[in-house]
Amino acid sequence: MTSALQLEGLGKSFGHFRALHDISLDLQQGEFLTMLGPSGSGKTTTLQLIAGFLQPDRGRLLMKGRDIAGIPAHRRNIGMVFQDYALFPHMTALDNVAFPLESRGIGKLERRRRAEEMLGVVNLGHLLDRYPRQLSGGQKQRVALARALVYDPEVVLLDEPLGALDKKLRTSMQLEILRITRRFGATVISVTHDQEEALVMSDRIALFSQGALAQVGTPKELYAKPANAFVADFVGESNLLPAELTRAGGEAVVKGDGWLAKLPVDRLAVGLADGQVTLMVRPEALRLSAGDASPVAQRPNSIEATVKQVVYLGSALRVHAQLPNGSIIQIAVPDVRSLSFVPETTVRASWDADDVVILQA
Amino acid sequence: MVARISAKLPKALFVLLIAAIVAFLLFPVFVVIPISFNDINDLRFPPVGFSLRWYEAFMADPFWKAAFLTSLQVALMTVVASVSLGTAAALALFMSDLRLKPALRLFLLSPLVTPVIVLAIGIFMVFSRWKLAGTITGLVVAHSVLAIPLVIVAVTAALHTIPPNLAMASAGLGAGPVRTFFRIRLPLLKPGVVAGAVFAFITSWDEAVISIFLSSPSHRTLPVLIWSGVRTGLSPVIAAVGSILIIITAVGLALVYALRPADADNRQSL
Repeated sequence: MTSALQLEGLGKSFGHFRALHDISLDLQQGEFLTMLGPSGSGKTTTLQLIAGFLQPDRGRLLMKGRDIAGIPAHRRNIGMVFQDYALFPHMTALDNVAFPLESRGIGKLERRRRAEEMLGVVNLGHLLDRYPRQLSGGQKQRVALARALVYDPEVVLLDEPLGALDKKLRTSMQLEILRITRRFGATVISVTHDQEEALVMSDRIALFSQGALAQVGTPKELYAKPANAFVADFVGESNLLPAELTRAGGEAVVKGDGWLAKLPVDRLAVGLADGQVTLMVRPEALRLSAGDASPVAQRPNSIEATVKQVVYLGSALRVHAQLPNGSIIQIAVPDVRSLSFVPETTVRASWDADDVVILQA
Repeated sequence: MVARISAKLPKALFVLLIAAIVAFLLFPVFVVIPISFNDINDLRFPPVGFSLRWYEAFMADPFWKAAFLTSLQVALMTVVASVSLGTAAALALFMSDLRLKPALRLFLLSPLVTPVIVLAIGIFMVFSRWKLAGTITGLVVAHSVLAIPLVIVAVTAALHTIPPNLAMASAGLGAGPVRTFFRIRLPLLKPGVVAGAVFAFITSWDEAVISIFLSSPSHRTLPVLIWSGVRTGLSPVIAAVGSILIIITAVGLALVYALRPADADNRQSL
């Protein structure tokens, strides 16, 4: 695997505001990377640095090993899909897709042929002569994608590509974008604040928080092994419980308010010290049973709670239960027929030692 | 009930007021055009009889013909000069983040608010020294001073309707600044540029004050000749010339209307 794009310690400030600090990423050829994060976390700034619309204050930007810092946007050979698509309103779909080929000095017949072929790939072969204003949101999205892919760019940048579409269309376009970019073996960086979209589409996710990278990893890594409470909270849903960690032999004991967790020491992150920690457990990792009021020491890896609300989601139930200290945890119940958890009953939520993550407090 | 009446009353008043304004503005047109068809040698209204003899007289008279051609030449040259300079100025003002930008904009637009007679006297004094008074070039330069602000206003308005990320998208797709200008910006600016051109043409076409100062016997524009004609003797030829001025101006405005952004209509119909 060769690396298509390397970001080395990129930094960018706007006046006194440090928008980005020390962003380092290595993008493999053919990889689909999503830059995820809340708004203002620096992901769009990073995208604009890569595109060449902004210049970094610090750090280096390498494309196939070559520094591209001084190269203006129009010579970088990067494809970009804007959130509102930025289709040229005075050109037909075909002319829009042919435009980057025209910029590259490709002859008229050849660019028509390639643009037509590309629009065929995105299933718009029948709408070549339509103007952008005559296309639906999803169709515009496809034209924008075709236009960004037709000249075989080194990297394709997608800025909130699905932000303007309604939810149902978004889900089908996620898979459609994957199908098309995979077909061309394109190296893609997508920016989104939608963690579900990131989980579905990405080979790897780079999670941004306050201008820095919180964690970079596969969707599975971010979901199952979040590096800190921010990642745990942003990717998927999680229950975060404050606790105290002590090591005893090969066993780690995590003691919370009215509960106890035990797990092998080697499940702890390197460098995690004894003392205040946070235990993270996903709603679907919790199993509910009837409350039994047994002493804490006899029932490790479980917690007693009072059901407050049962939310019917169609395919599953979501139980909100209150802990003795007043905080609320969420439990996913896959069996919608288990209606025995009525509000105000006492239940026991238990987990496998393998399913919890101990995070720095 | 009371509320409905009081809500309707201002609307009726409003319509009446608009009708009055329109009538007031159009009244001279409805007088001048019929007068030009008079069959007698008098500016009588309502006209007596119907004939095209004053139009024939206009075309037969070498002075009127020369003035018509001078006006046309000056107006077209003013269009070329003010559209190219005004568009460039509008773009520069739009894209730069110069600290002096507001002052510069005010300076470029100042002919709009300067009394024309003041401009005329100033221009006449300077142009006399430069030997531009009484020449076509002098007329074109002076008219362009009046027309450039109108082009700037029209093109700036058009610039604000272009989504800002189109230029970015164009660069991202590999187009340099020159290609981006000619393939993306200019086509999208076309309605603004056309409107600016028509305003520039009309400005020059019916400009009288500055032209009176700058005209010479060999280079007189139509409004100047009308002015001197009115002073020396009222002939229905003047009404005929006036009608021609009005019609050409109206054609220009119709052109602007026909070439307004296609989006405005299509969005509604789709």
